[in-house]
Amino acid sequence: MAHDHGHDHPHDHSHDHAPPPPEWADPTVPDTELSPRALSRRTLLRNAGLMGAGATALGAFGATPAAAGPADAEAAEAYRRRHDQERLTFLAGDHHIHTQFSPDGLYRVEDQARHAAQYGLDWLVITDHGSNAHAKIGVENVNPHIRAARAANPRTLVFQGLEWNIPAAEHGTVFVAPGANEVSLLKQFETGYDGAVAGATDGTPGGPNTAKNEALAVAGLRFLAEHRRAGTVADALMLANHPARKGLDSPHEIRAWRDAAPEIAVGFEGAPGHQAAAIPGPGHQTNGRGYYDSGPSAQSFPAYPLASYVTYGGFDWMTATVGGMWDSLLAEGRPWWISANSDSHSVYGDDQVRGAFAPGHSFDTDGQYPDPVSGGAPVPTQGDFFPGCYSRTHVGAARYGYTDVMAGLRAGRVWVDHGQLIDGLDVRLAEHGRDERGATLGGFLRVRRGARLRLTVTIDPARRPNYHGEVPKLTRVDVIRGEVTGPAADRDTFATPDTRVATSFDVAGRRGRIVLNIDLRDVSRPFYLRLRGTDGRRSQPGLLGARVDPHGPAADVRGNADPWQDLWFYSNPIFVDVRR
Amino acid sequence: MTAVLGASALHARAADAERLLREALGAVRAPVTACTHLVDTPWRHEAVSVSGDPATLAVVADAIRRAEPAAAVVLGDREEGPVDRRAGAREAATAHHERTGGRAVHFPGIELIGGDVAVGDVLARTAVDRVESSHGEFAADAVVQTGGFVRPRYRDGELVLLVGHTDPHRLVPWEVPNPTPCCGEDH
Repeated sequence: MAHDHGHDHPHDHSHDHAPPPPEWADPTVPDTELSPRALSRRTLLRNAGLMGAGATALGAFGATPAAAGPADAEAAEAYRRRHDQERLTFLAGDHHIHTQFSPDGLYRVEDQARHAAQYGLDWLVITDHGSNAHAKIGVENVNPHIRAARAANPRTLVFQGLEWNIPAAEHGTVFVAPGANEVSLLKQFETGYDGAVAGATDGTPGGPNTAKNEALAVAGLRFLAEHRRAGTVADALMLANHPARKGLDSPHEIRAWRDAAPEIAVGFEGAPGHQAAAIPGPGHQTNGRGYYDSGPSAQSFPAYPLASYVTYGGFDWMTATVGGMWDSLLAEGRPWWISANSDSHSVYGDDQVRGAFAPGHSFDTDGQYPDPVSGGAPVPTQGDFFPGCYSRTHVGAARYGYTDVMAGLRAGRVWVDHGQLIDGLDVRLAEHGRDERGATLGGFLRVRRGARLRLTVTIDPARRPNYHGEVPKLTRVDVIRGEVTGPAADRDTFATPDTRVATSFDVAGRRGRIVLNIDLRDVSRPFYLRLRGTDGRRSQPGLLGARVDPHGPAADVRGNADPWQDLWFYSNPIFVDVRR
Repeated sequence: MTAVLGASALHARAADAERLLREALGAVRAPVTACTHLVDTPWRHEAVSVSGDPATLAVVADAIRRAEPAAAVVLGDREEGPVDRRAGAREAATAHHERTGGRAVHFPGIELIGGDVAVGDVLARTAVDRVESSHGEFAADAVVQTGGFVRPRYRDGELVLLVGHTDPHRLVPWEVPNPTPCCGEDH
């Protein structure tokens, strides 16, 4: 079978293979023809004054509730009413994107922001690698480009962040809300707490530097928490990136980050970027999907099995294993959320290559590479997608804004998908028969013992072709249930025995909006539910057995994992607590 | 009779441990199996082991000490080199002896499986005891696309070559020669 990824034509720098605008941003598509999710997004942006015409048609939704004066009281009340009902719009984004300010980067900030907007993202985070050159030069010099990208893409939120070399561990996204101190705080953080800058990458189990370096990571998170409390920045978050890639993030480190600063360290990538890395073709023969192609090293957590070093349906082993690392965290009853990002450095089939330095210049002297130039032909050996082309992190926000997206991420109002598998997802868990909206993704529902609950899952299937030119077909939705058993006695545990696929829905061939219900009777113990869905083209029994996960994602094969032929969505959990 | 030696120079990277093995085995023609091992003492690092006939191993032990004077070597009653590295060397030798661990860099027959090789030939012509796919069952006449690089591992008494597959006739080794570095570093 031929794999035509639509990159076989030459393209120029300014508008390489620009996709059509997302339907909600396309003024030629009337409201009446939009999917419910698309209409919700258009309305949110319109209310924020970002959709030009129609700025009058909004009512109060999206107005600033803090606005003063009697004329605004009604609006504020209306806002609050809507907010209380959690009328959320899910904003698609990506918190892991590189530019020419990374030592392995290529694109300008404006290239990445423009592509993200074209591919329909509402928010993105620029996360260049922590390094000496970045801490001294790049962290400052990238900022004007980020500000320019904000101005050039008014319906896209562009955050400045950092890909933190977590001391003794892997990488993580750190980002802050825009403001007067965004650069100075990031610079201070990077200088003091980046593993590469501070010479603190070593995490050898039992090694002489490991305890000190692990402590530095925790101190860095506390630093961010203190500055958030003090108002230096309006908000700050950390999510661990590609956590199982090289076995560097041990379970006790992940738990230590979470516990040291739960308002900052909120999750990890459920799916890493570099999803094009194992598309069959030149230069990809030995690549793992996501560049997950390493084995255990002396830096790795010794108990992680070989199976942890590859992806499953494009997702990291920690998330893809039902009853595995992620579930062991959720079984503690504590928040820990997943995301899905591009990790975009250089894009599969793009023609851009690095420009040449002027004599005497280098990445170390300039903190960046020159602007990219066309190499004259598509480069098939690269392994990434542009932001929004394949991976999306959908964050539920009541309003359109930087701190609203960050609050939604922190609250776990998040689901993720690959290849635009579905257009919308709404999940509600409520006491049966009560006229309440209950809890949604990331939420905690407190009920009396013996309560009867109803889970309602509303899915808007994809209606338009994805960026591979196919309309994705959702065929199955799995509801995963795990018992909440309290704090882990062993901080290095990465499994929980009481999580499994509880129910599966065959939705193949369903057209239009899909509504699924499950009744849960006589609730007596705390638990959580999370969702997963797939196009069903690749699967195998889960790593913990078919009894736990009969049709889980298949392990991705070196050099032969076409991401467009293997699509999944995952939701974050809803927790249920039982009153005594 | 087969013996096993263990050695440790506290290498952080498998590539360095493999280089030590290559240097030490350079002139050896007798059949040996040589492995790298992640061991825990005094901290996590890459140690090595070699099994073969005792006379050959005595020569290999000398070669290791010449190539890397900072390495500890243990072979039966013989213990040489830095004392704090001997426990790691012994850990490697024990795992190899019991066939519970070890990543084989060299083993009898490895030179016969340079390209695409039928699973039956891998099992018949080399020390590999089992080919196992992370994707379950594969065709009886499947071919392993070795690309000239295989690193089978000892597990539960067997030398196992782990592979993956989408096509049940074409198996791809789990371990690749050039894992993607982490932002230009070898983390």
